[in-house]
Amino acid sequence: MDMQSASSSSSDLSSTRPRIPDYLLDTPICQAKKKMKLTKDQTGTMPIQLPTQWNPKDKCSLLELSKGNLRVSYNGTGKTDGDAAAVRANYPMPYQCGLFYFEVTIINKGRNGYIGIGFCTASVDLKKLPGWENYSWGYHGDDGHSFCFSGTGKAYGPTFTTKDTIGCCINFMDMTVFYTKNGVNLGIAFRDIKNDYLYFPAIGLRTPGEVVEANFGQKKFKFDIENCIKEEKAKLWHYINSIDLPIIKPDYSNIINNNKSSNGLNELVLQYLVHHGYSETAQTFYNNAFAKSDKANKQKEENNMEECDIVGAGGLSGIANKSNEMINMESLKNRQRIKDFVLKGDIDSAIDLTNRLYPTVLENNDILLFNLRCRKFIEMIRKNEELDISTDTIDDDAMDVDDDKSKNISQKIIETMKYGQELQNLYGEDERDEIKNTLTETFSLFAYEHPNNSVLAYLLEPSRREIVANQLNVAILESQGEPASPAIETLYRQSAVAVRELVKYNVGAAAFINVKKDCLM
Amino acid sequence: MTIELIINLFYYYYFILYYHFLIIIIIIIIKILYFKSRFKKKAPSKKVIAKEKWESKLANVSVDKKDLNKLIMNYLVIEGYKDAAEKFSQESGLQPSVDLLYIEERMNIRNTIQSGNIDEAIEKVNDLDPEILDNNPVLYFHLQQQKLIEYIKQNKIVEAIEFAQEELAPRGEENPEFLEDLEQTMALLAFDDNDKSPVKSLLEHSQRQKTASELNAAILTSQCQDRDPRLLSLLKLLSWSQDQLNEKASFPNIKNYVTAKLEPTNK
Repeated sequence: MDMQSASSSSSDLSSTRPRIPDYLLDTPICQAKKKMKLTKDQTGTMPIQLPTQWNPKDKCSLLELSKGNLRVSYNGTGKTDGDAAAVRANYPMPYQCGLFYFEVTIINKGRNGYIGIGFCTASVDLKKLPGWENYSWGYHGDDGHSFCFSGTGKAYGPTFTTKDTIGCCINFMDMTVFYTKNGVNLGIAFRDIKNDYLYFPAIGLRTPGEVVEANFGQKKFKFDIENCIKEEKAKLWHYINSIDLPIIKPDYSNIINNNKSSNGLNELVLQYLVHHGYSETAQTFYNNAFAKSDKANKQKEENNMEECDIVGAGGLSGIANKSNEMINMESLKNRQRIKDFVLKGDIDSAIDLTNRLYPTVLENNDILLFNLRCRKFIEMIRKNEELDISTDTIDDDAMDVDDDKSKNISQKIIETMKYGQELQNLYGEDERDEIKNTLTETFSLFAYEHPNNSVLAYLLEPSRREIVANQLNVAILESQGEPASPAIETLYRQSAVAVRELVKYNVGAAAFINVKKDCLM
Repeated sequence: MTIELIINLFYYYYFILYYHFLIIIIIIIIKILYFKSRFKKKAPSKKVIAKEKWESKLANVSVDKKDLNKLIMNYLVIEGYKDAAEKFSQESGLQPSVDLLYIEERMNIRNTIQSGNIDEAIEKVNDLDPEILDNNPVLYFHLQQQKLIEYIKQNKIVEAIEFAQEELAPRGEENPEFLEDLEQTMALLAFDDNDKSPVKSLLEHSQRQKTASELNAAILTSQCQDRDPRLLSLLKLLSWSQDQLNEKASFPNIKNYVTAKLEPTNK
């Protein structure tokens, strides 16, 4: 913390790369900065900037800046209100923050301490204190009043003077502003601030000797803003969680008197389990969540339903007919068998079974077939490597066995080479980037004596099998006219995009939501 | 005189005509303004995000299957599907967030309430963690209220009245909300035919379920777990964010959460 603040205050303003204040680390600001470090945003707008210092080009000439443009001193005569002087920060406060907070410490109250702390739009006259003009808001030290578009203020808080630290917080969720004094919240000062303008932090001084210094989050704040954010977040989630979901019933649950899952959660979970081929879980879950109500229902409408028996596919497909083929137990089992082969590294069996059960899938999907073949090649290298290691550790006593083994290994290596050549013959001419890159990468494994210790070792990891297994699963599902991803995944994506778009439309509340952290972790 | 009168009459006549004319002009102006304003309302049209563009945005969201698996595990645990949670742990290699034994106990207590054995349930909760009921006087009262309802259901009127007077009435004096609940419950005794009773819903199975859910939530909180499954929050977030964004832009909504199909963009 100290190192950071020291470096940011010592470096000159043109090259400062101020870090993002801690309290904003979870907001879209941070995510946007990471993404757009080097390039412009796709829409052509510049990356989001935060106010980090006072702007030397956007100040009244009676003010002087120092200490990395954070300290402001008054240099005028201070005779009348006409001698007031203000300065704006270098950037407006982005709505993507959710809320923005800065603190100003009064170094010296000067002659009268006519100090105004607030914010305004870019066009407001800087020969006035914050709050006197339209689209300008301020809290003044001499009388403790709050000013909004007017020369006469309203009683708001205590007065402030030398050594006091005043904080100002705009909450973009409900468009309110509160101030703090020496770390204590003074309550809401302004409400109903319009959300179609951009606002800059601003400070105004009016009598000689007045000196103030701002902290835009590069140093620790007096006020616990992080807790404040937590509260705002909790408030928002409390509101969201109080929303009644529209009751969505798949066709069949209209007739099932199932009070609990009327919002379709059980259906979503079951569909997810089926999609990814967790067949045991799917069966158990179905038995516990659906079968009971099914039976009750069956007694009511005996004629409509055939025997619902989960052990065979009949029960599920009976339901499936009513739920637009939500579940296909047979396909589920088949897909799980194929997936298990891939996860075991037995690519040949996976390809065979796929071709037997779903002959069109690999025919229509040559990239998938290519990926499977590459995986097979990698699995061969893996096996050789394993054998190699086991012979390395064999004792001298077992020389004969060793000999046999090394013969075996060289034979395996030749086999692998042959398969590699086959791959080269099949795909070497292919111009598609995906194929070219994967092929080069895969063949590079051969360049290493011990690929396990090379930079490409990750290719050998068994966890990589899951990627191909998923590709194959999706391809089979698509060939059956099923969606490529489970509904839950689509719902997650939809929420993530909707929240991201809301941030773009300056909806402050959206900045408090981190879909991944809040819903998945 | 008469000529003057006639001229005057003519004047009046023209005057009226003149006003008539004015009024018509005013009406026309109003109509024009009205149509303009209607036109204007349409004019600041919301930005339309085409389906293709939206879909590419969706595709850009990175989703880790492991995270989604956690979401599923969380659902199975919170909703008490212990067997399924066990199987899921085996099939996905994901460790459940809590000891699955807890689920069994929790579900056990829930079932005990749903079958109407309130005393047994209270005993079980106290075995699990006596602080749960100590810290939740409202919950404890609701359990007692449920016990009273069960007495009434079994037509044990004498027991019901005794129980109400000894256990519930003193608590009703402490808290006006309790008193109201107690009065409503006792109103059950006033009707011979419960179907005609305005508080007959208290006798329904849903009342047991309500009490059971309240207790379930308290147990979850005591074990530092979420009260609601994360999946439910995700759906609520979806509902909220779509509503908010619909005010700003036209984009393909998902209305049916079970199929998760994108509706065409409204224009």
